[in-house]
Amino acid sequence: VAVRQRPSGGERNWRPSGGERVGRRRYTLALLLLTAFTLLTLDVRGFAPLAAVRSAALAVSAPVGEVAAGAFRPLGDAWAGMSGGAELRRENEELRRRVEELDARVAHDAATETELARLRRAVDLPWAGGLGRVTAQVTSGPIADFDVTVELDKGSDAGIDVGMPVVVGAGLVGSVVQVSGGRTVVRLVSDRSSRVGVVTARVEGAPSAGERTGRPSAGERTTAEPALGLVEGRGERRGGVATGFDLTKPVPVGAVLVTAGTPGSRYPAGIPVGTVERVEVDDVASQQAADVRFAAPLDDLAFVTVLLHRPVS
Amino acid sequence: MGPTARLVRRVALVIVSAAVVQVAVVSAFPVAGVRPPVLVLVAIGAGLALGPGVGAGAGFAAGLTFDLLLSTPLGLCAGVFAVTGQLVARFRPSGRSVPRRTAGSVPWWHVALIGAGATVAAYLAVLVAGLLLAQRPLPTDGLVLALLVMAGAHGLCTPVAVRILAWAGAGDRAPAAVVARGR
Repeated sequence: VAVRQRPSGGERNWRPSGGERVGRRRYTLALLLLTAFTLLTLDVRGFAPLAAVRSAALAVSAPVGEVAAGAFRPLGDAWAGMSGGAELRRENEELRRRVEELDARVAHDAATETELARLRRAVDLPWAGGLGRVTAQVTSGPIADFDVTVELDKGSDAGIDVGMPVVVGAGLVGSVVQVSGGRTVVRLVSDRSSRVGVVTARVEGAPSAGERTGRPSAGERTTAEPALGLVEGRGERRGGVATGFDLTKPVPVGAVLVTAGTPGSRYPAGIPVGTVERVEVDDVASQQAADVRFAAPLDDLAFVTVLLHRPVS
Repeated sequence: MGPTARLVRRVALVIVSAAVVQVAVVSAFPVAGVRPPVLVLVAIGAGLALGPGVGAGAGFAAGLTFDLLLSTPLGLCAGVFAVTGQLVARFRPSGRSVPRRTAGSVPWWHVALIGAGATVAAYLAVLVAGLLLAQRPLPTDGLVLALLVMAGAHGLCTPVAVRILAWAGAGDRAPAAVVARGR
């Protein structure tokens, strides 16, 4: 490492003292931080001109990502195969195990379908019908680890707006966070800042976690009502965590969680979000929490559907 | 073209190039599922090669670009990267005590270690600032792996970044430039 000095003509004529230089640098940094904080505050509060700037930036960067994604996809797939070899083997074993489990459950599929249809009717989940839809292609995936987003090849020209839910046949993918004329950025449900209000579509008669663990809380009793909770992403594509379930409501392992569609929610009711994999009872907070496997294949999104749904406040 | 205008144009070119690399290359080739933030290298490289003032300014611009590429709140990465660019200059191998016009030399891995450490610090700062200022929850899984991958990748890339930013400042009134050389 070599340390060089490059004096210029200006330096020869005038050079501020060390104290002046340090003071000026600190002043500059303070100014930059103030600007950053102001921008952040305005952005978090939804300042419209900043949204327009984001939209313009998206319109510029999206084609680059799209072209690059097309050009590098074969290499990227090869890279993923090389760098994720151990992970793929583990996933393969896990998938084999799950296939065996699923084979064993095939016989119950018809009954489960009937049960699910009945439960949907019970909680009034008409998400599949009535809403306008725009099908779009996923053009590129996340570009860094700070957030988990994908880009779509359609935007506001197709009627898409910020906040609209994005789904595939299997369930909820995420929601629109940025949109320009021909591009859309979707924040996946797996993103750490994603929160989705859900309700259980449980199997009738299933015990609550308190009953299963033999530690029912005082006054606990199971009811036939579905449990309300909140699914949050963990930055992982496969699963998230659901919290806030009432101890008196059953949250069986294997239960399907669907969007609750509470008034003002950005998601209409009844979109499958995931399946409960593990339930824990938090006696201190008097609630149940669950590990959730997302219903949508977030690792392998090619086409998605944007539901033209606007929340009713 | 004056030296300052040339510096601004070259740093802008570096930032745009880093953004293209982030969008086109890093997103397509994650390492163990981790996509390192290339743009923070601009802040680190500028701080090391061009000093704290330029480091802060370049870091701010790089962070703002990153915020526009991501869906993070505008200003989050800008503020953190500005501080990174300013502070990383304090850890230059030569420090401020090097007499003017003096060329010292330290191993390249010294610069790499600074880059790795600054990357980890900047990443954690973005997470904490996001939590405090924008209620973005902290990651619960994979944080250590992400930090290790980023530290490794940026440790290797920092000497290159320093070289590039030194080119950006060539001919400008840089207080002290650190240029990494393999030995």
